[in-house]
Amino acid sequence: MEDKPDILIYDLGGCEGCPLSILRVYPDLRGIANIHTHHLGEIDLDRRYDIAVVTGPICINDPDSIDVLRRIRRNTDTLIAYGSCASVGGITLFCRGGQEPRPEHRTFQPLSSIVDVDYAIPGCPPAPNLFLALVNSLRSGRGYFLELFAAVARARRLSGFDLLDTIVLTGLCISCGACIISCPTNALQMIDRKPDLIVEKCIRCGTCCIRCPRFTQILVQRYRAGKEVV
Amino acid sequence: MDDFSRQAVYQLSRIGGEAEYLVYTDGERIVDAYFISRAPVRGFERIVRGKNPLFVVEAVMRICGLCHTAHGIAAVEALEDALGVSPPANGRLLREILGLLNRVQSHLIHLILVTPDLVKREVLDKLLIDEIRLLNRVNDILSRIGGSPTHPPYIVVGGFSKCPTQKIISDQLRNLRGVLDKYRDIMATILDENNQSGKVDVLKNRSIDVKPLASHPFYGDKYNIDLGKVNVVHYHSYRGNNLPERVSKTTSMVALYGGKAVEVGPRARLMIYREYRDNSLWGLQYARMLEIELSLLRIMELLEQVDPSEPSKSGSIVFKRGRGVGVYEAPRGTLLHYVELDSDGRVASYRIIVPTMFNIPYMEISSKNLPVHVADTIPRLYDPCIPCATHVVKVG
Amino acid sequence: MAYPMVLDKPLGEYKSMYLARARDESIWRHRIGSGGAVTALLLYMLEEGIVDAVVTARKTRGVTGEIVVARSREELLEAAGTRWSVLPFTMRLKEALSDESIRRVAMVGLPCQAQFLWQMKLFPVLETDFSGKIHFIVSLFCIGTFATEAFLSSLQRLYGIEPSRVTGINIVGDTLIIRYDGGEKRILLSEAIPYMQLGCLVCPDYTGVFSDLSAGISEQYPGYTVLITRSDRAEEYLEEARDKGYVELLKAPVHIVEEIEIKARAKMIRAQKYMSIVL
Repeated sequence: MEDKPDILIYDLGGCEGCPLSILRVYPDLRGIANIHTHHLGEIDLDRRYDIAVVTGPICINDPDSIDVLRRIRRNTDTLIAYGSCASVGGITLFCRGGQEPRPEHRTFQPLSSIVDVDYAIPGCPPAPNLFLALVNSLRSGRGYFLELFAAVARARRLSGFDLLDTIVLTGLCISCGACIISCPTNALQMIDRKPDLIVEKCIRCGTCCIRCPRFTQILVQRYRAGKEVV
Repeated sequence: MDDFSRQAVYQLSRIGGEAEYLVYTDGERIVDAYFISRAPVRGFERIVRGKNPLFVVEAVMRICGLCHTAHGIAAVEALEDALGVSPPANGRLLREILGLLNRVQSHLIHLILVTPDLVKREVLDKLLIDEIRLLNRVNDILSRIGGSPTHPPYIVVGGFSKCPTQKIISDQLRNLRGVLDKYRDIMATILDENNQSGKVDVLKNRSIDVKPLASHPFYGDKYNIDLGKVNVVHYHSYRGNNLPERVSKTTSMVALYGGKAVEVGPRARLMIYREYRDNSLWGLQYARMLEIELSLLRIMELLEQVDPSEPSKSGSIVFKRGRGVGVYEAPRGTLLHYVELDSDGRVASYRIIVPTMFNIPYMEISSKNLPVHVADTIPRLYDPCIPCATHVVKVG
Repeated sequence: MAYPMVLDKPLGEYKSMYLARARDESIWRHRIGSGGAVTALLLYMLEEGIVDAVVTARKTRGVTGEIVVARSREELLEAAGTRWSVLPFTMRLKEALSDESIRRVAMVGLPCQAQFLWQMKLFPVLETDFSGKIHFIVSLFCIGTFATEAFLSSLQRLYGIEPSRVTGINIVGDTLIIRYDGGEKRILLSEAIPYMQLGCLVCPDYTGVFSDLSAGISEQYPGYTVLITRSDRAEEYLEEARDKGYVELLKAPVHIVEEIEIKARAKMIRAQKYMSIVL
């Protein structure tokens, strides 16, 4: 893209940590893209955008939210699920409903359960500079890790539990330590050279999974083979 | 109210979260207004049921990306109340410090959101960039002391899990002084009447009958408010029936004190604890700006009292049956967390009352008779936080 | 991972391959099978102020080691050459690197670690890790690591060699040479495979394609280090280190390139075989 792409930033009902993280890097972003976010002004959902970045989970019991998500999907060629809730569910996978004034809002899922997502990036929230790197990668069209993010868009969940089930308990773990240093709540600790999950601290953000060299290899290979990713 | 055929629905931009402001006018002036929050209800009170307190603290911070630390603090206060645990002095100091850093962070974010209403176009662009850069500096400090700029993991039951070293303390004191200087420049720019927009005059000339509620100037104190008077009702219970149909979509409830509407937040705190008197709409914004300065000074004062050679976390914590309340002055006002633990120390029930719920009546009343062109500014001035507001359970 | 190598390009993208050796004999004299060029290059970067610290490993005993953050010549020279187990990056390392006086770091690891470091640098998720400080990534050639305790205890069971007496392990061709204070034991690599980590057997990356510089040895030139430069800064720093007398540098002859390619290809084929079982 030679011109500056038009990028929509929209939150569906998450904690707003992800769009705020993007706002923080706005001074650098505005040189390379036209950013449309409701934190800086009005936004129009009925026009096309080069890239639409949606944060927050989709509540599958709220037809208005689903309608908005579908509108956004129709109006762009590149839809990015940004942050753990949008990409893999995050903390909202624990939602149960039953709370006033909307007890029927009981199931929250990553965006990929409703629409096709092009790239999904976990993080609770991702660091501001990640968004800059992402926009630059998309503009240049290259980048090995973009394929990883495309693979994550096919995953319906990624968490410390999935790391255990897929990599540690199967004996695939090589004890490199990537997961230990990437957990935002310090839920992973090395015991006898293998990661142990402090279950009460895992908020299902998925960061450990996308840092693990073996997990990312499996995600991408399954994605390329058209199989179920997780 | 359907007599007035003129109505406008504002999809509120430049606020934290998704909400609408439904306004009825006579053509020139606002006659009535309804605040309708639209974000789905994730239901954190239900999420934490059956869970270990460790999970509760990590989870409730993720209710909101603006006032994350406030929820963390209210949660650990409630859990400590239930367990009969008290943090050591360092723990209490560090919590207050981190909470105030979150307050500064949140007020700065709000400033970024509201500045386009307050200043003329010529100064807006540079001011916004300066504010964002300043926010980044505050985030760095919060990250160094709390472990992350958002959802800081060092807030734990029993105190603070990691005391900063003396070097980090000195470095951050120096950084804070720089932040304060830069903030004073920004504040001076906004207070300069030559820079102010026409809306500011309207705001200065509108007084509100403010009934303030606040429990503490800088932290929170459950003995300073009468918990028995806090009541949460459905929106239609508070505003009566015959509401416009659109209002039924609202996803938040309303909090009252003694059956009446109260204002919570920076101005309420300053009115109760600092003899602040400005009850105009502008006065609310000015109070928030003053609070940034006061909080920065208080943070520096407290940091100098932290002693890295002393523990910051209570030694032995046993999870067992109990009941507790945490009252904390979040950036937007008084925040309450109530917890009940079962015999294994897991959550049997949990309730959260957030400041935005108290302020909804004020967001609606304050715009009456104001010119239509300032309509969407009014709710924005109250700094509503929608992710928080969609988490209330009927109490009492 | 979306590995950028394929069977006819098993080393991925790279700029040049060199044979290199530290000029200072004392650096390489005690390393068997390696020219110490990586240590010499890192020494150059540290002494020139290009980086404030180097994260590498130090031998503690026999074949075990620990991660160190070297900030001086002395600390760096204690660093080990080849590695027989992955030394995990830990929270302690993260804390050590959070020191404000460390602004740029060079990191040495195995290909798997280089991969996640590269990803961290490019796409920082956690704001509080050291991703902004990673300046230079070195990956060491790797055929796989051993589940160390399992392997050492097997040496005891099968050959009567006590783990504490082992001083070093080398690979020459398809033979594992285990040195201990009593002599030397040669084992066929194929016999040692059961003690290799399964996660290593599915890994297709021999040289470490996600790095600034990959380094290893060639059997045809023991006493030299094979270096593969992948980024502009790797080329630049290597040339400067040569000009300033830290390293000797020769363009690698074609038969060396072929040797490395053969090994890399073999690892990819092995990985495909084991991966098809796992997937």
